[in-house]
Amino acid sequence: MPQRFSFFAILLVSISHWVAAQEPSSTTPSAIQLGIVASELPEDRVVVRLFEGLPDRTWDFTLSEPTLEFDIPAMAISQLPKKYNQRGVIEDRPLPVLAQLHVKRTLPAGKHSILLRSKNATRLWIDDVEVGTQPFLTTNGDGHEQVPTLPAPPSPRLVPIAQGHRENIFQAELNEGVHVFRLDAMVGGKTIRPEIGDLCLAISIDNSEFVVLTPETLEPWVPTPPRWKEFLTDEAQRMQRLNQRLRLEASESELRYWNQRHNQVREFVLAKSPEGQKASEQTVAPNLRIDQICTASSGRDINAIVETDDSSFLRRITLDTIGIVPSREEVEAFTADTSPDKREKAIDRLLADDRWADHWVGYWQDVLAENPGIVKPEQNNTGPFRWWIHESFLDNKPFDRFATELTLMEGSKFFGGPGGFAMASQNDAPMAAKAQILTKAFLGLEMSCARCHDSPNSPYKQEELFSLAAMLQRDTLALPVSSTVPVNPDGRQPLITISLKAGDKLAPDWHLISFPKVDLPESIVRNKQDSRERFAAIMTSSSNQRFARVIMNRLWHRYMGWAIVDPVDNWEASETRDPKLLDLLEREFILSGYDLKKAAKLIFNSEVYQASPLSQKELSACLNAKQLAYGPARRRLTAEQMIDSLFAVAGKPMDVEPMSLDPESRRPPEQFLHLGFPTRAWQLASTSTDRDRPALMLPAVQQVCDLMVSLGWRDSRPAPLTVRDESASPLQSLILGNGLTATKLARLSDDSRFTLMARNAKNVTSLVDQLFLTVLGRYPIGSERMDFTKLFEPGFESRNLALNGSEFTERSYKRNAVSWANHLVPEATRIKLLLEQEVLRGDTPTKLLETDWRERMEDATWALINSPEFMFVP
Amino acid sequence: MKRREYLKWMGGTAALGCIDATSSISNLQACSAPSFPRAGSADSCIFLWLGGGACHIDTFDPKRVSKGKKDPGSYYPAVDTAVPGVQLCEHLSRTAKLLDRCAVVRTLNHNVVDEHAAATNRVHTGRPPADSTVYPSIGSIVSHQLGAVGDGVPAYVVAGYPSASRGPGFLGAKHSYVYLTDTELGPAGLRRPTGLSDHRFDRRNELVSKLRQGYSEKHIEDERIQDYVAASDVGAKLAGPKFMSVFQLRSEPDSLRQEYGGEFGQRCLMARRLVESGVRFVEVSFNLNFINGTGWDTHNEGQLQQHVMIDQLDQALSALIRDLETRKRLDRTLVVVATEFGRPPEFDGGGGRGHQGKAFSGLLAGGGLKLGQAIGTTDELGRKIESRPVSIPDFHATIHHALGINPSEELYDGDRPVPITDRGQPIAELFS
Repeated sequence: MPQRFSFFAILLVSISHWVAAQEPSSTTPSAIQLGIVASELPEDRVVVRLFEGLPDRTWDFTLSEPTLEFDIPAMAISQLPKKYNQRGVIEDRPLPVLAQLHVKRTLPAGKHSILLRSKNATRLWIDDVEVGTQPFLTTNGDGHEQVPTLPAPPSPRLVPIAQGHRENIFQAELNEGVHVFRLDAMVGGKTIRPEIGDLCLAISIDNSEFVVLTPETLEPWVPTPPRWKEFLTDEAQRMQRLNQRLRLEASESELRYWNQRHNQVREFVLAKSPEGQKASEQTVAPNLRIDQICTASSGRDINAIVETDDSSFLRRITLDTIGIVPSREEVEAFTADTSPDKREKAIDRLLADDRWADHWVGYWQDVLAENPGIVKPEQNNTGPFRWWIHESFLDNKPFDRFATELTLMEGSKFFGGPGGFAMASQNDAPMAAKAQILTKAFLGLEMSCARCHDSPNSPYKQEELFSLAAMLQRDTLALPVSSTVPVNPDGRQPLITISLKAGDKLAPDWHLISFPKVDLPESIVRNKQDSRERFAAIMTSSSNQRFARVIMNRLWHRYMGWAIVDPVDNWEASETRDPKLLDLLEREFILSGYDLKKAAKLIFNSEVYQASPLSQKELSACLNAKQLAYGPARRRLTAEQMIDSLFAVAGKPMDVEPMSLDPESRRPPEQFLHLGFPTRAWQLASTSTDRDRPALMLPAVQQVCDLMVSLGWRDSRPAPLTVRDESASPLQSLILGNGLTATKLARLSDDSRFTLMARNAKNVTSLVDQLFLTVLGRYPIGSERMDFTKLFEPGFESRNLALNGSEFTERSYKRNAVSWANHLVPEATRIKLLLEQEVLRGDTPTKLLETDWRERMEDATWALINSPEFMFVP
Repeated sequence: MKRREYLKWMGGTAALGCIDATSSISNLQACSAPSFPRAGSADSCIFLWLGGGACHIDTFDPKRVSKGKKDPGSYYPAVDTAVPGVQLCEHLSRTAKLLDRCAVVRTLNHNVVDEHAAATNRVHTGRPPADSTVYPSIGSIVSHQLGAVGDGVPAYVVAGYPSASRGPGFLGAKHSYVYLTDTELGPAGLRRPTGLSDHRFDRRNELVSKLRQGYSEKHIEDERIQDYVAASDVGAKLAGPKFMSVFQLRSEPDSLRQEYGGEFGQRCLMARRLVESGVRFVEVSFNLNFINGTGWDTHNEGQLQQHVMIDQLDQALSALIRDLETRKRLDRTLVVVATEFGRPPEFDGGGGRGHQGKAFSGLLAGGGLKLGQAIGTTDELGRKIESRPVSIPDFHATIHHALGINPSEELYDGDRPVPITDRGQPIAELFS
């Protein structure tokens, strides 16, 4: 392609804000193929092209076809679309990646300043003339670097750059007319992770404020802190949609396979008349059958079910679907709605909500022992396959496909694919651990004893587990010494049976003596030679009469608080209550094509689900008699529901530090992961480094984690778990009351929803109503209304102070200069200790409300949040 | 946990971290069986942690002094101690005078070298990590076995950052610790929010107790709700003046505070106050990395200011021993100094030292042990053990034995029995 100069641009001067020594660009522009020409560029979007697998740390290469082209609305990007393999699971792009951003824009003549922000190397071109460059990231050593000074932004209104970023201003004299800007950005490298950071190109025309460069038809915008935050939120949604489109496109043939497989099994089930079911019952809707079976089980009639009130129902169904409490507006609309099918409609609305996926991640992180460590792997660390779990539930992936993808362990290891499940650091037989996790999660088999010896309490022999492990290994597997029990010749006889010795070789085979023999239909296993695929097929096959039942039992337990088969993850040692209910759920689940949402919908629409919680006495009476109960058990909010609801209620973003000890992205993923910027509880991870270095603390993350841990969340998950320890502890109310709610959630800062509510309230009565509806999802009762009214009345009329035009106060823990690269320098410790103090002081109170009145409102908000009512599912 | 157990908790023996009172009683009985006589007189333990790997030949096991970067050896000269024939580094001169109240253990060893986290885990749990379970820390085991000494206090407190190695492993969250990073403020979660006045504190509690009462009365049959409300009441008492006053070091005489020295010393003073209040096990982390940049992990330039840290350790440790003795608590309190590994006699390119796990030192003081001795010897430069190796399980067994816990007692991870130590033998010379 010939070089093209449409307009003449002169490079005047380059001011470096951060970088002391710039590496000169080693190649001439001709070595780079030129981007898209002006005539081919659209007017309404920025075109981004990605090129993969380029040579490391150089601009000296020839480009071939881009691997992906997509659009964005401005010259700003903070995440790249993911790449998917043909099964639709995340896989890694060969690094480094070049992202080329192109935009065209009409500009007036003059000398303009151009602001470029990036993490890694960039080159900026205007009309095919190179205007500026930024050097490659230096990969990092030992922790003794100087702590860099983060520069103040070139104009006070702009969001400052985050750690690990560079910012340069270039001057360019341009003619009047259309100009093409091209920004080439290198992402990741052979030894660094592919985090693009906050890449941004802004322009100041004739010394006016910097605006992010946008295409012709879109309004440029000033990247102020709130505007940048808005951009990131909007981008996250755009990328979520784009990623979904990309993985559906990539996996079309996979979809055909699963449709075919589901059609087959559906025919098979339909051909078989449901056992024990009378013809008349088959015409009854399945949700009503649930009610009949549950009540009949304990000899009651259907009227034994006591329906819960509307506001309780809405709170429960919202927590069970999207993991947070309903908003005030949702409660008001729902309680005002008089249509007879409003519960059904609410269920449908919530099932269609993307946050359904967020609510499922925490559950499977526990069950599947998802356990990424952010620093140097410790025992049983895995990759962060949380992102694949999240995507699977966004897509409402058929559940047998979910289990199969996990078993195949394909795709990205460190950046979110099920490949991360294959990892178990410092474990001598990772596949034995995986076989144990998979069979426990999906078949309810408890094989943990069999890791080291034949199980004394369940039927499994060590040989059976290691034969399964060998299937996952796709090879014979030698028993490691660490998976044996040392026998002391002089000591007592071990109580357990040992039938294998270290070094014994086990061939891939599925022969569980106590598990039904499974005949696989021919078409199910696509690659007969692949023992991992065979493992998945046997495990998910409908003919094992276990998989679908285990999943339905898990679902029932999650929504009702009691299980049909208990414990849910150890069926060999379980008690089974009336099997008719599982028969029904299994059949409906298989007929739906293993669609979890449809199964959930069925349960949600039953009266048993919509009933008031049974008292412990009523519940035990049924369950101890091996009967089904006719209502849900009392459940406490999970740690994730609690955190996500608290932030939702306060209307505040989580705004904790990035989940990484190498936020500068200068280290390989084998040693340091970056788990992103948490917005939901499941995105957090342990801050433990076992190093006792204050500079490695993440105080804002820690504050959230402390509360979650007190509520039963595990910050590290080296082994699978289904039922958490949710017993009450004296620390729970203390950590809730003195930690996060005191410093952040009940603090009326400028960004709090409560501040806005207080300012806009028409009168005290309406304010009290709004507060109760927002926090507890119901109207106050008489005495409550009195107490809160008495609190708010004095000074209500004069509570609002005038806006003095001050800019929105912004606090962000993301902006501190400490990283692994410099954490051993005393300055790093000093910064982190100050940050810790800042976190403990909490958010800055708003100046828009009179102080004494604001404090009363804060105390009222705090009390509602800390009321036990907030902790429990109604 | 049931409501009645809370009542027991407030009036009885168990505690926040360890509420399972029944197990502690049965275990004490088990320990007094003739096959394993209770030896030490300690009822509580202060565990001082020198994170990073304190160099044994620059502290408790001094050797020939190095003449320069190329000459392996101790960095400082040694001084005589109260125990004839046993020397310490000159920066431990105060402790040296009290060494008859201590036992130096010079032959600790394990095979984890390169990774701080893995070695820290080994010394805290006493075991190599398992593929299929998570082992508890010694602090969690002790609190699981014995509960708190006093009423209304937690069994296990960490002055340092939360970490996996300090955790309860398979014993479960209720045997975990409460932690604090700031001596004056008290533990995370228990301290009152910064800047909250008494007036507002009371107003909040008045509002919330009305809401709590209303909700509780509405759900009188609901055990889970009743349990939570009961636990909240226990929590409120815990965060009340009785326990929180432990953190008011200002109430100690100035002279005593000065005796303890800097930040680490103040933490040791707080540890004394904690065990006095009835806490069973206190781990105090020496994580003042800003002194030399690296903390005890003295690679390269970290070596240069190492003596400042040793001096602070010396001041704090000697003050703690003296203070406990003055208050007649030394026999009841086992003081442990531990670290994840030692360091070799050679110097690295920057004049500091690498890691060495095959021989390093720890120290025990008080606890009613037979003190005034050095256990084990290393070779001329402290590279290898010459006699009487003490494994990490042995070291743990010694601590447990001193506290009256049978080190071979079995804990249960679900159905699976796991002995408290991995065949550890208490150091017999310390028990007579």
